This record gives sequence, structure tokens and C-alpha cells, in this order.
Amino acid sequence: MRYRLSAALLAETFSLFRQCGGGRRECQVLWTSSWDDPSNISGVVHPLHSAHAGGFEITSAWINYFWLELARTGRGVRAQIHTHPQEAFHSSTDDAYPIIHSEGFLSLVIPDFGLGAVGLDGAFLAEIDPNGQWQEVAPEDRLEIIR
Amino acid sequence: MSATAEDIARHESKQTLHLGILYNGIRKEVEINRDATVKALLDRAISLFGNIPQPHTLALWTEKGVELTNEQETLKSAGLKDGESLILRPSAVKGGR
Repeated sequence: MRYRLSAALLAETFSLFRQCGGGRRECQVLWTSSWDDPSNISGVVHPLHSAHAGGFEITSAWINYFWLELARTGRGVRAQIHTHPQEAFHSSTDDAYPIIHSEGFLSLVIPDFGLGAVGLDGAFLAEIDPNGQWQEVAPEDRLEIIR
Repeated sequence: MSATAEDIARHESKQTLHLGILYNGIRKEVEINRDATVKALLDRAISLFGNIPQPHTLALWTEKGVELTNEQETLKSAGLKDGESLILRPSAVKGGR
């Protein structure tokens, strides 16, 4: 699936990375959309998490809260987005512990703690294939930024 | 005195749990015997949501945030109640270089 999201939502994503990570810690956000219109990303969620320069972990109790909230509002997570200190790539930890395990789920990694220009330059996008393996995909093939 | 069909149906009804399973914002219903194991319920729950390529990474949690960790335990002994909703989610979500 190719998702559409607004430039404002992308800017909000970077703003959260900068506020939370402060250029010193990794951070993650989640992009959500309604199950009635899944291709139209319309929400940025900033999970409760712990983080350090080399990683993050979402608080377990928050996941339960979030699962109930998704069901209550009829929304689903389409992509997880997180920062790396320098180069963007999908690490073995990123591979093993995503929030969603379904085919087609996206994981976007942003370099330099998200301190660079707002956009997908230098970003790494991976997708879960039908065999459960992560495959690199071109961001423009899966994400359309609406100006 | 022999049991009537109605008695048997009532007994079977009492033995059956109707549970809701939540995954990524979708709720699906499952009917399962109270004497089934947590593992059987987990397998049923995962199958409800189609192609989840690495199902071993998922677990069931109650709405109160308790993970059903003992897969050989029966649903009755796990204390599950008819009409309850369960959360199908990964035990851990993390990332990093």
C-alpha cells in the first residue's frame, strides 16, 4: 500500500524527535490512520518510552493502553518511525521487536536523531514481507508527502 | 434421570467462553471451551488476524495489563470470564542501532 501523509504531519514527527531526543537519545513515533481510510495517515502518536543514545523501548503498560485506544477509535498503526544517532538503517533489534508484525507494516528510520532537514533524505524504510522478513523499500514507493 | 437436550445445551453453554481479541485497532470474537489452554486461545487469536508472519512474538494480555504467560494453563484456571476482551500484542517493542 502507498500511504499519504501531510507535510505538517511529517514536520510534527521531526519536532517530536527533537523535543524528546534532544539530539542525545533515540525516539520513536507511530503513524496511524482510520480503518475506514487506512491509506490516509492522519495521526502521530508519541509512545511513552525509555531511551538512550543507542536505542529505546516502549513502556509495556502504555502498549495496553494504546491497544484499547486504537480499538475505541477505530484506528490502526501503519508505520513506526524512529531515529538513529547517525546513519539510518534497520538494526537486528529493529527487526525483532516491532509494534506490529503484519505483512505490509512499515518501519522508517531517520538519521542524525532527526536534527536534519525535515524530509526523507537519508531515511531508511523497511517493510514486512509475506514471509515475515523485513525488506528495504524506496520511501517514495510507499509514502506520498502532501504539500 | 437422564439429561435432556436442553440440559446438555445449557451445560455446554456454561463451558464456552465468548471472548473479544484486540489487535491493531480491530476487535474479533472467539468462542472457546473454558478447559482449552492459553496456547490454544493464542493460536486461535493469531489465526483470526490473517497473515502474521512471526506469531511467536505475540502474547495475550488482559485489559488490566496482565500477560497470560503460562501457555499450558486452562482458560478457567487463568480466571478468564465470559465476555472479556484480551489484547494480542508483542511482549516488547524496542529498537536501536
